[in-house]
Amino acid sequence: MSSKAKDRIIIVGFLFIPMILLALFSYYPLAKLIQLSFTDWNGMSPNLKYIGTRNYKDILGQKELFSTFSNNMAYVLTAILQQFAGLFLAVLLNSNIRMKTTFRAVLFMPYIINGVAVAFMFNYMYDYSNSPVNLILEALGINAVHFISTSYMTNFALSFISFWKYVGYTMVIYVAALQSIPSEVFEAARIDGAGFFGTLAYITFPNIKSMLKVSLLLSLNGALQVYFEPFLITKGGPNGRTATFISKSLELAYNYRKYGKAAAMGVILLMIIMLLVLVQRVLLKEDKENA
Amino acid sequence: MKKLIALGLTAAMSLSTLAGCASEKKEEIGVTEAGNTATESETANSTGEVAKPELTGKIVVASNRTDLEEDFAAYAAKFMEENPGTTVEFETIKEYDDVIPTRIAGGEAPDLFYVVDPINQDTYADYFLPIDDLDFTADDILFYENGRGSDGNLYVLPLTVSYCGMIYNKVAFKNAGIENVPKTVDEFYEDCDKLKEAGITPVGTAFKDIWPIYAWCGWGEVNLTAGDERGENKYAEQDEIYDDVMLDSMNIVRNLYKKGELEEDIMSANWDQFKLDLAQGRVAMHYSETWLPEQFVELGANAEDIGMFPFPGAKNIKAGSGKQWGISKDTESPELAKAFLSYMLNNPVSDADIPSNKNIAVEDPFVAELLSYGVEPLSPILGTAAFSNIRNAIELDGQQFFLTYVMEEDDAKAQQLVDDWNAKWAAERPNWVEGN
Repeated sequence: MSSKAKDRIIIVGFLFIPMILLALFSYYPLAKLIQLSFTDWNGMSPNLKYIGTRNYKDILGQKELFSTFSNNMAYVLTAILQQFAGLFLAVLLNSNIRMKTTFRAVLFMPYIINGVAVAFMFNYMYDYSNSPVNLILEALGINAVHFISTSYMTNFALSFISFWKYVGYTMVIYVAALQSIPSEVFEAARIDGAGFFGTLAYITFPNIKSMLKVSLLLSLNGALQVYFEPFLITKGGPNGRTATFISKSLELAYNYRKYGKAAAMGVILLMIIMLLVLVQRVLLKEDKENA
Repeated sequence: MKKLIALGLTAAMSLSTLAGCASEKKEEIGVTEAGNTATESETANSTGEVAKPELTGKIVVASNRTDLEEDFAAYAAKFMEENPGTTVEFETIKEYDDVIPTRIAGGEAPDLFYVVDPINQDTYADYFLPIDDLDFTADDILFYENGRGSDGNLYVLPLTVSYCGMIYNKVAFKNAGIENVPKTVDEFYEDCDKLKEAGITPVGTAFKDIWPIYAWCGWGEVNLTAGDERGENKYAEQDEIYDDVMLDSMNIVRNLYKKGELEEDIMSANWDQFKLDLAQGRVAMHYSETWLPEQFVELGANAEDIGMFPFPGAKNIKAGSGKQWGISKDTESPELAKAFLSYMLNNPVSDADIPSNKNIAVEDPFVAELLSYGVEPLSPILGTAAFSNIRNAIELDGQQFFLTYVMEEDDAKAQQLVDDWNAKWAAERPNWVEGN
């Protein structure tokens, strides 16, 4: 066998296996999702009954489903805050402070903990009578806090969980971006007499602008798709005050056996996210032209 | 060369995995075919009642009681010892209500399983084998008639029954100076005040986990307790899903919440903590069923300190069937499955259960106390499937709504929420009920 033929086999092998996996675990389920969204499947019956676009019409007619996006807004705001916090930590840990690798590792740790485990941990932290947080607050003479209540603030309590989990990840993205800036630029700036904030505003920011946008989009995307915090901690209640779009669709599928309608919600969210990606594309393109 | 070896290895590995799948499947089919023919010939040979058909084959029994795994294994071993040549396997599944429908959809239903949503009497025949030929009648098994499908055949039977009532901690009652259990709702409110004064949480809800409050808002529980020939679920025939009977029950919890007589923060009151609190007397009462008290004893409470009394003012004690078990219509060993279901009906798996089989004596102290107050048990007459169909169509989760209703501070807003659901119910009802 000539080495060229060998190379070809390897290339084909490496190309096809990921392609098959991708088709099997990404595109096939997607096609199935779209197919199911036109049926009234109950999650069990062997036959699919097609009902046209009734699921989509139902969803568009149900205002309360879209009002869940107002709960998602708490996660969006937290995601934006998370960018600032991540960037702040990245700048801090990119400077010459001691033990910065240890700090980075500690901050990144929450990201690799299983999400369900994190939710259970916070479930305990947010418990009114047994929470260690409330214990400390009471010891300090401050009134205990109802983390989970009927107020909108509950959404922020829940979104803080994602903040805690993902801020380390955001930080790592920014650290990588910061390290890609040549150190000569910083040196030149220092010689020219630029201070900390001057360097930040005129060198750091412009250089990581595109990374900032990517990270922001990733976080926004995550904020729209969030479900496990409300699903595991509040079950969307009370009265849907903490339900998100996805937690609502899971409820439809598992509580009312409306898999078809839940699939249609999935497709709608997919379209919303694709719209967001399109907006980002346009923004990034603009950026390139400016450069 | 290295690359080639690596590629060869990868290919061999993936091929062997695929081959593994194929051969496994073949073997499985081979075994079941053999099992089937054996069962059939055995059945054909048996004549009359005297010759018991010899059982062969293998069945899988799926239960949600992960806590009984070891008991199940011993139970199955005993059956297999008495019936050599059979294999009975128990499979315990934690997320039963989610897993079983998926398994059924994939054509891999266990041989014996119990009814889960969305199976109802309209669709029993799609999933279960008729079991009219088991050696039981309505005289032997409680709720026997409720196991019939819409086509009149019998498909499912309960192994256990339970009675609905107030579970209470007698020590907590004593510490609050309460000598007799409350017989009316007014007495109940008075006792709650006394308990609160004594620093004891009068009623535990475990509201955060939502399901534990089902007895307060379950249509069957509430209507049977209210009495007046409400043994049958008639909601599909009326325009109000939340009528006065339902709201009376829900308002008791709403009043207790307003008076601060439930857990301190009901949004974080969870099941495990609640059970511990009631077992230790920090919580005095909980409205549930006879399957529960045993769990407080397991958590360290003295059996004599835990008791049950009928819901204050109850006209009846709701008697309910436990999970309803049936045989998968795709089972490969129907005779063995039937024999094992009969065995389970005659030999309760757990001593803590109250058997549905009337021929087995009940010695449960909690049931004895509950029935000693002179309120008669009554069991619900199964309504049509329209009730659950309408409820699913309008996406009403009665327990979730109950939590919302209790926590809504403004009375007018709470009433508005009730009116909204009633309007939705009235609008959807004609789609499911004929002649309306």
